[in-house]
Amino acid sequence: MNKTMIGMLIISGALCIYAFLSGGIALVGEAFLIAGRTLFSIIPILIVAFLLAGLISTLISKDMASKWLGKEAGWKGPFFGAIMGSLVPGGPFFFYPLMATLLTSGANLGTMISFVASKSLWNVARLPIEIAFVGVELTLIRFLVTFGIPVLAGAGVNIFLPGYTDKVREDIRALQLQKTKGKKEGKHD
Amino acid sequence: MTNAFYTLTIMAVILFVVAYRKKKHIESIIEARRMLINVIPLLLLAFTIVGFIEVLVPKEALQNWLGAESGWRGLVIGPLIGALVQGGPFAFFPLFDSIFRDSVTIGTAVAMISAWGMINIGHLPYEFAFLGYRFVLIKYSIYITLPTLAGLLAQLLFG
Repeated sequence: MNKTMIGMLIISGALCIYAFLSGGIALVGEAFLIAGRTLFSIIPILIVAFLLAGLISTLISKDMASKWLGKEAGWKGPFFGAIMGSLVPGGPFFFYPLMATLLTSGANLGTMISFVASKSLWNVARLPIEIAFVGVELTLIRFLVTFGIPVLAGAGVNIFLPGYTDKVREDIRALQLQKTKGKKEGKHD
Repeated sequence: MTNAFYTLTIMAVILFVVAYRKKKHIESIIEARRMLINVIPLLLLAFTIVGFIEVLVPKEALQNWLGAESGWRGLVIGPLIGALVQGGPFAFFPLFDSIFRDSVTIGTAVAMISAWGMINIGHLPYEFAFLGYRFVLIKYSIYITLPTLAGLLAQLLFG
């Protein structure tokens, strides 16, 4: 049990109480039903996504990550990060852990900021759905107007906040350590 | 969801072949299993929170907040709504199509779609769990104004 999990437990507890007060037990039940349905619907994708994450984590060497996405990549880092973000499919339960893996393997913070912006703004797999429902014209305008954001935001972070890459890496290591520790303590019980 | 499943499967198969050639396939599966087991408790909590957000933020109320003649307010309220609406593209885009598309300006639409992707509050549980609070602070302090600015730009250029 780490701080993040305790925080999330407190938030779900507070939301649960709020839902109970505004809609009674039925609304609480509905929330859990949606949560359960979401979980079951993504189980297959979850298994494949983590298999892929495991493969990426063992195949991507620190050299590769720092060459393409880290300090050595220079201004090209945010650009490669954005390209990667536009191509990687999958939901937040997949790409946030992937970002953590890439960061600890040597990717820069700004590059990951580019990655996550591009995941939502340049997403290749999502464009057909957006076009289908929103229309070609509006999708094109949306794409054009937000086109520069991923690279600019990432480059901005690399230039103005260079020290934060290491700080965020420390945070990730601390989070991962807590998880492993928690597991070990669980085993002793 | 189905498209993402097939794309991920194809990518996994390709990388598995690469890993097999490097004799790293067993190691990869062990690593995958370790990662998955580590995140299961977090995922259960994250899905619970997403479920509550979904029942507590009613879709009809969202439409009322925005109204038809919101003007510049749309550039602020639009992204707020985009950030609050949960679900993947198959949930958001049909919702946008049915409720908002015909009643909002181009600027509001661009701001809303951008905010749904960039500052979605449903991502916060995952971001805190995997990347830590400093990443969340940096990301949101940079991203918070961008959807509104993008909407403004779209309105000025194409409105």
